[in-house]
Amino acid sequence: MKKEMLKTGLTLMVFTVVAGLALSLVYVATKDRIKKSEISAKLEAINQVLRDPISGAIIVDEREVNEIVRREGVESRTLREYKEGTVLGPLYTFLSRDGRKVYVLSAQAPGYGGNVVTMACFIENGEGLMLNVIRVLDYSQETPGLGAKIGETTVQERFSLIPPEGLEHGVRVDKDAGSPQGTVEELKAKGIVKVSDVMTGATITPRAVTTAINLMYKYLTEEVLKR
Amino acid sequence: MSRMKELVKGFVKENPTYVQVLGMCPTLAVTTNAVNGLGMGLATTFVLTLSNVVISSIRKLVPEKIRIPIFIVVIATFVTIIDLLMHAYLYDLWKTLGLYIPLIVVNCIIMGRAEAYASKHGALDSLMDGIGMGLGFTGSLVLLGSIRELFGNGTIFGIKVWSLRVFLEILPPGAYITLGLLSGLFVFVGKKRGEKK
Repeated sequence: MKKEMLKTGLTLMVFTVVAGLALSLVYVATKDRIKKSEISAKLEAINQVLRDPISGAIIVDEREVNEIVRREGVESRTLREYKEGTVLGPLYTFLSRDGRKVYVLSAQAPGYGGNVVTMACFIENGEGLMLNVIRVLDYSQETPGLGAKIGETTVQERFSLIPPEGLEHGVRVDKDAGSPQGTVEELKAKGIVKVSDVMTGATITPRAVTTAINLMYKYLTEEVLKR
Repeated sequence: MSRMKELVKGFVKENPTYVQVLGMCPTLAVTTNAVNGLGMGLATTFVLTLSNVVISSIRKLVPEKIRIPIFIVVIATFVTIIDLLMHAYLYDLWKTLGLYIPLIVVNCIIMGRAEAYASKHGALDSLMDGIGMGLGFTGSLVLLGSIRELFGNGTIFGIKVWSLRVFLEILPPGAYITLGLLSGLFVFVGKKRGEKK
């Protein structure tokens, strides 16, 4: 009986050791490539948020971007947890070509199916912080055709260039602000992002993005700039 | 000829999704569009084929009592390998499929074929069975994903076809309804072909 148990245990052990060995070989073979994929995905997102939404030109020296991203790393880490969501690091700080401080960070807030992760670039100007561009990094649990439309560049552009007074009011989607009349740009000054025309039937996902923007703004003003 | 039969039986006659009604969790969850269906189907085919071959090759070395844990070790190994490979080389698809890749371990098509077929047949037959069932599963997911994407979003593989959009199609009820209709169609076609013979 004992002998049989030992034999069974040893057989199982041999199979798991062989499987472990095979896995370690694949892990070693793919480790660098995985890191490279993670870095290039993050670098691509950072490069996108560091562009002027009108001209499309990058506002920071590209060599500086690569250098800072490699120094700070790309692994997400919690900077601050709030009731509504979590602000995620690394917090990248750059200097724009015209000498203004530029902050890039991410935040997650609950969407329809899970957390929606948003990366944003804030630029310091005389009056405070301005939101330059956002990129929604993860919306994989949102409903395709509805909430997942947040992945479209044309929708994300609606969140670009929100002035300091808009951020100070707290950013909201137009439905939450009572669907006010006005152009996209006029509403941005009040912190209202018009998405009801481009994301019909989906409010929860863009709301997760506005929550993330507000949390990032709160973190930057309270913890970094200490205003 | 018989090996060819092993290969093609999974396409329609013993289709794992529509006839055997196996692997329903990924079928319903990832088929919101055709690309996701294709990605999940091919990942499952990879795991199914290799685990079938390995399980069939080691079947005489595996004690009866611990065959299930050993099969799971083999399947989990291949799932982790495909997870690592997709993470490294197909980053965007890997992010989209997310949790469903590790969940291939518990896809009952794989365990079902290991237990019902690979553990009783030779490596070559098991290889054919794995490829056939895997491609049958892939085809099912692509078909379901394409229909849901076409009616729910007006596109197929991201290419715009029309402006018609039935939101229900991309929501869970759409998956159930379409799956039910397709299952009925497959059973009907299978019966008609049987009657002809």
